[in-house]
Amino acid sequence: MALQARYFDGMRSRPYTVALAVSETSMRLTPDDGSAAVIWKFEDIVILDKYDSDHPARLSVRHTPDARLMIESAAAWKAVAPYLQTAHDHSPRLSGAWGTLVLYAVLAVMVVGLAVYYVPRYAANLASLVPDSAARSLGERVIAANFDNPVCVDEKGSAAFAKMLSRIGTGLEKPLRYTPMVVKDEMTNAVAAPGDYVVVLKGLIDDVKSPEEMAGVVAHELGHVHYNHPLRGMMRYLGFSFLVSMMVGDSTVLDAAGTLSALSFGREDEAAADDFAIAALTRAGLDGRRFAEFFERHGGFSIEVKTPDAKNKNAPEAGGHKDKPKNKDSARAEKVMEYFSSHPASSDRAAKIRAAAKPAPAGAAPLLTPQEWQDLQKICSKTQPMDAWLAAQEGQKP
Amino acid sequence: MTDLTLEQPPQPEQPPQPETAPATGGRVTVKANRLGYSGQVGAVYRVWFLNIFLSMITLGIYSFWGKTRMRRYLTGCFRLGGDTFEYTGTGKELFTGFAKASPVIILLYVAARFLPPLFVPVIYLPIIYLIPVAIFMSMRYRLNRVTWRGIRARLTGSPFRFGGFALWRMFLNVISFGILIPASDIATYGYMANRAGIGNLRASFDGKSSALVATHVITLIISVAIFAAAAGISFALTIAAAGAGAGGEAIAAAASGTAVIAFLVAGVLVMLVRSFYQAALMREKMRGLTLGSIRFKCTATGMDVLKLRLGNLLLLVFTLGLAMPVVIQRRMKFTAAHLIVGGDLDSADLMQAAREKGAVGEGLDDLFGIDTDIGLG
Repeated sequence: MALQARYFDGMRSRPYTVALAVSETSMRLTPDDGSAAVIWKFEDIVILDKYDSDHPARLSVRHTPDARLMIESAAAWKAVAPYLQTAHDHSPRLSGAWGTLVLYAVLAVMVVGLAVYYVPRYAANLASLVPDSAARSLGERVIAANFDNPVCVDEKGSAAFAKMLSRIGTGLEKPLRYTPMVVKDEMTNAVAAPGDYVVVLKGLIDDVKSPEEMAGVVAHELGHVHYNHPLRGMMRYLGFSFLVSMMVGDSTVLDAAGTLSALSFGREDEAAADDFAIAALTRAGLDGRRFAEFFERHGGFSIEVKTPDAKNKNAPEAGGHKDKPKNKDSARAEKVMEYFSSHPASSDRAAKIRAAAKPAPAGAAPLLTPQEWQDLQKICSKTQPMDAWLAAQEGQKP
Repeated sequence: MTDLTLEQPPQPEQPPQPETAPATGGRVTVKANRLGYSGQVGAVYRVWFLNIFLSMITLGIYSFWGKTRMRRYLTGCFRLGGDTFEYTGTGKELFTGFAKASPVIILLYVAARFLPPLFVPVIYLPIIYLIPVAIFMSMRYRLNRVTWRGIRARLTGSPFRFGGFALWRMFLNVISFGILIPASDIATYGYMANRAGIGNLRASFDGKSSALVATHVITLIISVAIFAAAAGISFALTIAAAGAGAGGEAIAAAASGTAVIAFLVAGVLVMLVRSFYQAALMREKMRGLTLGSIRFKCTATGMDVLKLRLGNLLLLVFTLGLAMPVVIQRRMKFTAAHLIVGGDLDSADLMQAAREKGAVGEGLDDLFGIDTDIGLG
C-alpha cells in the first residue's frame, strides 16, 4: 500500500509528493519525481500538528527544522501515528474540549475568589512601603479630584483651628505629623487622605453645636492618620484593581483612585479611629460625650451604609443642593448620609462611644473661647484656591 | 503597467486550483489563487475560553502562550495554493519580549504618575513615538514566524527608525490638517512592505496615494461635519440648560448625558464613513505590492468594510464582548474572501533565506494594547 504525503525540504518551496515507507525505527520519504529519498528516524521527528479532518498533520525533523511533511489523508495518518511514540510532540497539548474548559472555568472562579479575598489584605500591608512623597502626591490628587472648592485661610479662624488641634494633640500618646485644612464645602464631613492630610469641610463646622463636638470628629480623623488607614484603604482598593487590570490587560487603574470610594474604610478601621479619638479627648481633658452627641444628634443609627459610589459627587454638584427647597428633616438626613457614606456606622457605634466617653475633668480649660469659636465659624471669610494652597504646602512639609 | 485580471467566480471550496483566466484586451492575465480559510468558530471559541480561564488562573502570565495558541490556530487555517500557512512563534518568546519591554513600561508609568503635572505632556512624545515602534516590532516578529511551504516570511529593519519615520509622517498629517494622511498611510506601508519578503523574494511596493485622495477628502469632510453636528447638539443643550434657570439642574444633567451619547454616535458614524477610505487604502496597498512575479489584489469595497465593522461592533456591544471569537472569525473570513494572490505559485520557486537574528518577541505592543493584523481584516 502506498501511503502518500506532501513534503517540503525546507530549502525550496517546491512541493514533493512522497511515498511513505515505514520501518521499525524510521520512515523513508521517496519523492515521486525520482529525486533522492530522505530517511526520518522516528526519534528525531517533531510533531507540530496532529491530523484532524480540517487540517493536515504537520511533521518536522530535528536535523532539518525547516522541512515539513504534511500528512493529508486520514489513512496515512492512521498508518504512521502508532510509530510516533518516540517522536517529540509539540502539537498544541492543552485540550480545548468543553469538559476541560469547564474545569478551568471552575478553577478560574476559585482563583479569582481567593484573590478578591486575600489580595486586599496583603496589599494593605504594603502601605508602609510607600514613600511619603508618593503618598502626599496621591493624597493631593485625591483631594484635588474631590474638592474644587477653595481652602479657608482666615487668620483668626486658622488660629482658633490651630488651638483646637494643639489641644487635641496634648491628648496623643506621641506627636502626629499631619496637614490639616478646612475646605469651603457644604457637605457635613471630614476626610483623612493619603499623605496625612486631614480635610475638614466647612459644612461640618456649621453643623456641630460645640467646638468639643468638632474636636471629636477631628480626633477621629487623626485616628485614621495615626493608623495610616487612608493609604491602607487605597492600597486595598488598588490591590484589587491592579489584579483585575492585570487580568483584563488594562492600565487605567489609578484613574479610579481619585474617588472617595477609595477612601472609605471598613468598620474595624472606624472602630479603631473612634477608640483613638475617645482616648485622645479624655487625655486632653475634653468632654468625650460631645463626640457621642454628634452621632446621637444625627439619630437613627440603623442607617444603612450607603455605597460610596452612589454619593461620589463632585463638590460643585453637592453645592447645588441649596437651590432645591426641602424640609429640614430631609436636608438633615442628607447631611447624615454625607457623613456616613464614607464613615460606615453600625447601630452600636454611638452607644459604644457614649459608654467609653468621659466628661471633662472639673476645672479643665475650655477648648475654645466663645470668641475663638466664632472666629473658627468664619474661617471661610478668606479663601485660597485649592491648587495654590496645595502648591504652597509643597514648600513646607510637616 | 500590468493589471491583474481576475475574473473567476469565487471558489469557496478548497483546495482552490489555480485557473487561467481568459486574456482580455491588452491586459496580462495571471493565475488567480484564492486564499482559503478553514477555521471553525467553535474551535476559536475553545481556544479563546481556554486562554481566558488559564490567564485568570495564572494571573495573566498564560496570556502570552494563549496569544500564541490563537495565532497558531488561525494561521494554520489559511491555505494558499493547497498548502496551509504555519505560525512558528512560541509563548516563551512573547513572554521574554514582554519582560524585556517592561522596564520601559514601568518607567513611563512611574514618570506619568509622579512627575509634576507640567512635565506630563513631555511623556506623550515618547509614547507617541513608541506606538509605531511597537507596531513594527510586532509585525517583524510575526512575519518572521510565518512560513508557507516550509519557507519563512520576513520583515527586516529597525523598529526605531520606523518609529522616527512614522512620527515624522504623523507630524506632517497634523500640520496639513489631515490632507497628507493618504500619502502618509501609503508611505508607512511602503516602508514596511519594501522591507518584507518571503525566502529569497523581496516584496516591493509602488502604491500611489493619488488613488485615495478623493475618497479621503470626501470622507474627511463628512467626518468633520458629523463631529461638528455632535458639538452643536451639545452646545445647544448646554445653552438651553443655562437659560432654564430653576429647573436647570435636571436639564444640565440630561444635556451632559446627551452630549456623551452624541459624541459616541458621532465616533461610530465616522468609523463607518471612513470604512470607504480604509477599503480604498487596502485595495491600493495590495495593488501596489509585488513579490517577485506574484501580484496581489484586494476586492473589498467600502460597503464590505462598513458591514464588517458595523457587524463586529454590534456583536461586541450586545454580547458584552462574548462574541469576540465570532468577530475574529469574521475578520479572518473577510481576509480570505477579499485577498487574491495572482501568479503561478508552483513556478515561483522560493528559496529559504538565512534566519533573521535578534527578532525577539513583541513586548511593547502589550503596553499599548496593539493587535497588529497581518492581512486585511
